[in-house]
Amino acid sequence: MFAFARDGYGREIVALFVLTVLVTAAVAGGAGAVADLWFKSAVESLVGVPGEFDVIVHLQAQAGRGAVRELGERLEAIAPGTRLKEGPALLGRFNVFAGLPGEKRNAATFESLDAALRDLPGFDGISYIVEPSVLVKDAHPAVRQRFVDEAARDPRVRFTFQRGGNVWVVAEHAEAAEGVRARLEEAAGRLGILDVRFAGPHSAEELAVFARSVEEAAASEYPAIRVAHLGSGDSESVRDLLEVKRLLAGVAAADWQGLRRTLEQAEAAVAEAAQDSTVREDIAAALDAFEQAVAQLETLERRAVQLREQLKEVAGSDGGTGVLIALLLERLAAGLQGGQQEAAAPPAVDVERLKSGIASLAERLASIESLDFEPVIDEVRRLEESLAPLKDGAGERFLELIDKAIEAQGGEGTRVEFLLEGDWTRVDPAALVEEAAPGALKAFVRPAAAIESDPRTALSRLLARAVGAVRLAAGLLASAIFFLLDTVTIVSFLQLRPDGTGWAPRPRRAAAAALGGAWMAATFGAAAWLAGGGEWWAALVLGFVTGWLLACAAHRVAPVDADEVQAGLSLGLGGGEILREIVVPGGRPGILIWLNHFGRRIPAAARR
Amino acid sequence: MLEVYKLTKRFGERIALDGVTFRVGRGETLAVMGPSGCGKSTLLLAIQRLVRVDSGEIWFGGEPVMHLKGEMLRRYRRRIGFVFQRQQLVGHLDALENVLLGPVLAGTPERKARRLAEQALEQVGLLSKARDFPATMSGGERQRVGIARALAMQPELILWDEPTAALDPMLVDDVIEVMTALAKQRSTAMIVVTHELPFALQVADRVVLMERGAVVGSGPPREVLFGGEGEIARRLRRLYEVRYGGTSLPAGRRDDRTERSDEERRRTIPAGRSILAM
Repeated sequence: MFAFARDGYGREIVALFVLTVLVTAAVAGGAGAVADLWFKSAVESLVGVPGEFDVIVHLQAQAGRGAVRELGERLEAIAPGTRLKEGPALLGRFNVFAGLPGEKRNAATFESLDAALRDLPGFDGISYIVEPSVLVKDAHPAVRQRFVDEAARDPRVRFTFQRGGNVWVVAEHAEAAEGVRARLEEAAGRLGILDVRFAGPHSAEELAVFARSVEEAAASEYPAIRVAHLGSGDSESVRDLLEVKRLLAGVAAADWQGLRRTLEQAEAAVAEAAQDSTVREDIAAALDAFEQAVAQLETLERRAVQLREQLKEVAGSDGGTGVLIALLLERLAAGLQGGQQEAAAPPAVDVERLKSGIASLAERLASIESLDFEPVIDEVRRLEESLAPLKDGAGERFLELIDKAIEAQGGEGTRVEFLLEGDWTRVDPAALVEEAAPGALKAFVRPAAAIESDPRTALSRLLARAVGAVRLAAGLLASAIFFLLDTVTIVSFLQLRPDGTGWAPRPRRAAAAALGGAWMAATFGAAAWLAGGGEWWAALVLGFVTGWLLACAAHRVAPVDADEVQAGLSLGLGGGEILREIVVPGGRPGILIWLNHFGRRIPAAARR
Repeated sequence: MLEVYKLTKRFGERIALDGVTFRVGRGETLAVMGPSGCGKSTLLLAIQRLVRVDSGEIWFGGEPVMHLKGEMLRRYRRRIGFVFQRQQLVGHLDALENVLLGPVLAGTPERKARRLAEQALEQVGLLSKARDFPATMSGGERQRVGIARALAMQPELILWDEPTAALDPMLVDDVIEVMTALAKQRSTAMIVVTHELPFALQVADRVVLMERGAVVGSGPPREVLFGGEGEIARRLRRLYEVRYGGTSLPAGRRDDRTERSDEERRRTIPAGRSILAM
């Protein structure tokens, strides 16, 4: 029966293949085009047309709408004619898009914007989305200026500006940005950082000796690569993490628990004082301890705010892609839910409330002779409730996470850095350091900077992948439908015994199922290739698996009547004739039944 | 016209055909009888090359057919009509289209094919139901369409695989009558696998008795069925006595073909009706 194609049915099979590929490609391409349009319109409705907005200013939602108005006024003063658009609120932050007027789109404005807005109520950082631009991200301080100089030499570059460890290179136009990006990527490809970590502290002399050894070893091992010692010291990010750890350790280990206990004691003492005024000293002592704890809390909070500001500065200086993605997802989610949702601000301990509570208690204590103790007890209870957001064990969990982060950064200890110029990917850091410094804990090489496109371009690349996924899914669906309507009938026919006396033994059915898988892989793969995009290889794999699974169930999905086939054989019909006159017309309506219509002879003969 | 020689077929451990040998002459009617599962149906399928046998030879019209493949095999099959027990009509084709299937695809010009099909349907008394679909027909009508489908091919031999076994007893006579009429015409040889004793006794020229895939008796019907000493012959005799009463046995067809008139022979067929134009 596998010879049905030779029996005169080959033409229909070829036509079925071609039509399946064309229709599947049209469906996949159409779905991809619709998705592309939808994504583009979603992006444009969020960030405007290319070049319309330059920054996203983040404001804490708690600051209220007044902060947004004040931002507008402030920007109008800095750069008259600035366009403003309020984006979706996300994680308790308002996100305001701002487009500076042409004459103010320069390095000086962008570099000073953060300082100009810092004292704005609720100000929570800036994300830069200047277009068209190329971002030199996380550039090592030793090479940052090199990138600035490299960009300055390119006539396609309008200007550059720096924030944190990042350098933005603003191009004249979108096409130029691609060329600038390629140039900077080439430059970045030649610069690497060799990072060596030691388990414990080392003296400056020891590190200098070690640095010389590494430079000598590298010179002999990799003569084409220039190695320069950059310096030694603690890791900057590890230092930050340790600071956070110390802060949280203080909070988690003693303060909150102590504060709770003190409050409970104060409540008990006040309650007792209601019965006996001789315990006045005890109450005073409890309140003193309470006051100290709150003071300590205040200090901790101040340090936390400072740290948060530092971290915000780092976060606010990113390329904006992360922020844009978050905003876009938020917008899409809100669109799907039929409305915009604002995330609530996280709960915080009200230190001011605690302090005023203490003052109130102390005042009442001073006039204890005439004190009505019921309100005092209520006051203490209220103070205790202020601590409710702090759950036991939360601090410990934060500490564990920080320890993991420090470990991921290479752990605590001294680090030594070298600049590698040349093909630094060839360097084997472990082997190089092993000879020069056997005591080193860890050694690795990394790029000196990462080159990224502006957020819209980066986002477009991400969305292009999403469009590809939509195209693939639509193609798979169309392909599977055609398979179920047409191919599965042929597979079912092939799973019969050649003499039509029933279902064939398992090996023959497995071969037919594999043939079904190959058919769908070929049609889906060809359709994906035709529809464009690079998903054809995924389509081959997906197509084979789906086709094979559907083909395995062919005898259930589209059972062919073995009796009818046997009758056809007994009349001297070939496999192709049986397919055309008996099997296919009895199957599901699809492309094959339409193609089959042209070759059928029986209905026409009966009409004559 | 057909010679079967030492045909052997196994389905795993089970022997379906065990060295079956016989011959059928032109226009001759051969009844094949035996208990269920003795290999009768397999024998018919093997003759039309619808199952592959393990060994043995078949000659048709003096030519060996076991080596035939492709178009040659299909031509051989077209020379032999097959009437199935379950009719096996194509559900989405009406009666006329089912009957046209063979001649049209054998290359017969469409007008001629249509004429042949209509003649065949008329022969089985179903021309008026030519455009009816199998699902709307009774079992007997469907079986007669199956017979017309075989007849329209103008075969030299028709294989009948228990054509009345799946029918309501009320409809059996219609089919037997068609078979009898065809046998009487003697234009087509027939091999009929049947459990209908009266048919075998009065219409068949010879009977082949089978048991466990092997031929255990062969010859004129009366001789084989009532003269044989084997277990199968004894059981058939007992069955006939119970079903048709007494021991007065009708005369065998071959033995007294010349003495008996057509009218007499027709009378001896139980419950037969004459609706066919002979």
